[in-house]
Amino acid sequence: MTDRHKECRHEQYLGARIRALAMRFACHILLLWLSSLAMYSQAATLMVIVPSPTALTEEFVDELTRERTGDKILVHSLDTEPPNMAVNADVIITMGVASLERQLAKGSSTPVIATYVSQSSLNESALKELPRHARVILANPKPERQLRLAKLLIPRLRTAALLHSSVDTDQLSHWIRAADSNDVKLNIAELAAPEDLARTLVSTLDRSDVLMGLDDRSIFNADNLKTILLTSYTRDRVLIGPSAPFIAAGSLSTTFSSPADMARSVDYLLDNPASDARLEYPRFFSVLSNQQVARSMGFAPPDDAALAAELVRVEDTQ
Amino acid sequence: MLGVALSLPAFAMDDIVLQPLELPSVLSATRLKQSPAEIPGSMTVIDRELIRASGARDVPEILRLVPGMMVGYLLGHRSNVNYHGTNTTEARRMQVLVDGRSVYRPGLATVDWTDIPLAVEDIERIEVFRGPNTAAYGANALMGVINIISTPPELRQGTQVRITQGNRGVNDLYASHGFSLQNSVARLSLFAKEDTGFDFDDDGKDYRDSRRLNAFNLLGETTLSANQSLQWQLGAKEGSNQLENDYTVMAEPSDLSFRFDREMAEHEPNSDTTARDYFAQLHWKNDLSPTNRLEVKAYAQHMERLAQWRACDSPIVFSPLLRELAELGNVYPRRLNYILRNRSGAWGDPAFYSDYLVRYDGLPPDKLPLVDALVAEHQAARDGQPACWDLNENLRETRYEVEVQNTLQLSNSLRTVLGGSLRYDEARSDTFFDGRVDNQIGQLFANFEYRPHDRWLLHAGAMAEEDRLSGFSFSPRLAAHYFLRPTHSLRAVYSEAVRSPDMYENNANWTYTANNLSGPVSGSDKYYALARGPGDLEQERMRSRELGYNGYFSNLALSVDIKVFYDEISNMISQPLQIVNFVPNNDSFSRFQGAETQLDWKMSRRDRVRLTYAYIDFVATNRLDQRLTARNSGSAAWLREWPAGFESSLIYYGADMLNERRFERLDGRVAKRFGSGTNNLELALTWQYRLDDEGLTWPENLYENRSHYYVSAELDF
Repeated sequence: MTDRHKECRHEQYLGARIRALAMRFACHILLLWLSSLAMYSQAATLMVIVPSPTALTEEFVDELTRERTGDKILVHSLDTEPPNMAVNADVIITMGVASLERQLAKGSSTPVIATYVSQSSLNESALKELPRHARVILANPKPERQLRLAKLLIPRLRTAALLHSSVDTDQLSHWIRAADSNDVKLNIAELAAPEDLARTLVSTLDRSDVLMGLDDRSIFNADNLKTILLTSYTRDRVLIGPSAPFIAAGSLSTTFSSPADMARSVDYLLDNPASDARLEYPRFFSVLSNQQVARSMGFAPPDDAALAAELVRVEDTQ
Repeated sequence: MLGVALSLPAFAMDDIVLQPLELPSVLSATRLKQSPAEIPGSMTVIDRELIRASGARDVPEILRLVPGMMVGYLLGHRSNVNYHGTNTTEARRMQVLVDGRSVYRPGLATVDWTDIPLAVEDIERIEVFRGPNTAAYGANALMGVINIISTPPELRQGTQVRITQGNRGVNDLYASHGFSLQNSVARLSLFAKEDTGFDFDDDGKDYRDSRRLNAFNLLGETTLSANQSLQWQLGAKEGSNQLENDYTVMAEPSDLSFRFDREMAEHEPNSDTTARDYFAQLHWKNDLSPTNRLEVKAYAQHMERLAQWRACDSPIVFSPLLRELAELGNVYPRRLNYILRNRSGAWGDPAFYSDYLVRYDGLPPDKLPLVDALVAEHQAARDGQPACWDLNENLRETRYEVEVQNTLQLSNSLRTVLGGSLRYDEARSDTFFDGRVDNQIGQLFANFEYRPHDRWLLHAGAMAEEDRLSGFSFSPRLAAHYFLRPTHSLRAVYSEAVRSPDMYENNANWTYTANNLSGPVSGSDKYYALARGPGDLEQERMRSRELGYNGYFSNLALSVDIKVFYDEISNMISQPLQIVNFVPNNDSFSRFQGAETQLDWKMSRRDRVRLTYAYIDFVATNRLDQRLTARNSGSAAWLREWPAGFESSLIYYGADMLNERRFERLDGRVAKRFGSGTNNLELALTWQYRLDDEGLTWPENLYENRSHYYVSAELDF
């Protein structure tokens, strides 16, 4: 118990706002969590709430079933069942921000693990504060991992460009801390108006070795992608992130969590609820790279499995 | 359901994370450039950072950073850039493209670097393909290709103003503004350039080679749809390039007691050229799929070089006797020039010249009276006025080209580029061509890139070209790469290339029409000299063999390229373009062998070191091709960023015998930037210091001072 109390005092990365809240309640909540989860360590009922069944949700549920062989796993789809249907489960696992919102709107105190929620979708959602019984495993890549990945690919990396639009100071401060701890200088530029994209990008890229993709949908979206990628490419810079779908479009590489990674991360959280963080990044992840872009830019072809293994090794030693 | 949806407004935007995100493939296989280790030849890329660091005001100075590039000056505003060598005063054997448009002049087979409507400030990078590349670029890419690429307008939004002032009359202005309109982005640049060229010649005489120019360039890109874009560009340049009297006088003044000699001595016209260039081009790109790209490029270009002045000479230049003598041999009028000015104190003696002409120049003895008659005719006219007339060397060249190109990634291991083009060239000049000459060229090209294995990459390419004036040609290229590591390759390249004779070489019809003729000329007003192209010249042929290594050490951020080469040019046309003694043929031959290396090392975040070196051994059968090549040449550059917005660069350029004289120069540049982001001011000082005391390229190209410096202030907002 003393170890866990120590962990309570250990400051983890968190959004400033949420961190303050969490610091206040973390220790109390943790006790609640532990008592509730302890009951299910034998066999528990896990309810996965999905907005609608898709290949991705099915894959996630399959993987979760594989991980939790002793548990009973139910799936509840919002589009086929009444939203206020009574849910009788020990832990609710939501997929996507809508499922989370629906679940929280019920006022139930059943522990919730939210997946497939990105920091930006959380900020844009109606959820101002997360209740004590909710945990979020973020879907957007962890800044530390992204920066370490960038350093593995570009050993001489010293400075990284960070372009942001909104006033998402939580995410930004997280990036700043991640850059500090990785000895990377960040060139941060705020995009004041959408039409300034290319200009802002160029002036920032010219001082940077790489462009880091942020979980910021007002910048990293399908409309802007061409400008971002072609501009970086013209200036011999690569984009890292912001998420797996960008890789096929022309981003060099990113960490991401596959459904299997996400299921394993949920599994790990269920078994090891030690962290005091309300928001955390998936413990398990993969690396995805664009081989053609790498070749064209004169990189050695990235070995995604080896890169992921190296990132895990670094995290384990820290 | 409705109530719930309203109470949970985020539902609608749910879950970009959960939905498969549909993103266009931007950096698709067909858009990506080849990595340096995969290029079928040797390539030097001068990026923006280097261009800026060089402080250069003109492209040729930037090209000194390319190993094996021989940069020389005929006049302050007439630079000649040749790869490896051949003729010093002309640059006929390299293709030069600006955003895909050939600025190689069809009429006189040269590149007027100063007259291209392009500001150095607008260049994103210069890619120099070192070696023949007819397989991809067609005839005239005989020894290399220089590809100048403008910064995309999207990257040039905002306003930039730059003023440069320095010694040697440097006075440059540049202003650009980037803007967007609906689905288009564009950049407009206006610029003006001035300098005084060389200060004096080797006789201490003032050098007339100043230049002044004004130009604009508008570059835009319109997004037509998600997969289609149209790049459009137009520009114009107007300027004046000074030149002393370009007319070669038959009877130079030698004795001021004669009226003819006095008036000739006082007659000092100039042949200043008004140079105007115009162009418009379109480049349509259509990504049919991420693996299939179709491009169409079209442009129109017009160049005018207008020079008119009043020429004076002895009335004998209109004498039928002189024409008869000239027809016997081009050498005889030159000898007559010796005789009339009593060259070396011996040529004035009839006994000497009669003997020399017959014995050494092969003049039939029965034609000697022609010479004597002409000498007498000139002597008789020497108490009177010279013959004077209006002369022009106007030349107007027009070019239209359309090119279609399809890039297809057939599989992960096979990529093809196929295409064709049609080109129309026209040169109009009463003086040079007695009217107009035109030409049509059709091309078909195919390039295959096949990767059978991780360690092997094979290229095969060829160009088939039909040129109405010089016939059909086929230029193949084969290359193989072996990858030691993914970014380290060994290459072997064999290529064949051609150069078509230019219109002047093959179709010249150069004589002067005597407009407003005055003076004691009776009878004919037909000028004696006529330079006529033979019309049956063949293409020059190059065979090139190259072995190379290209590697990038990512841990060190070091890239290295080394090549050894063995190039032979046969069927070479080496004769200079001139009105007298113009007998072009395909009889010359050159061979170049040697090694070149370039090394680019980003030593630290703040330091970049770049070295180039070329060793060239050559054989050339024509005397004129034996001067230019430096055996050892190279450059060393150190670029550094300092704290507080300072940056510096130090570049050494050296060549042991560039056009038979040493060339060594140290260039320094210091710049300080104020402000940050998109609003800033930059002040820069560029200082070039010659380490040797030779004339630049030629002995008469002299400056008062070894130092050339200029300061610039640039405002971005």
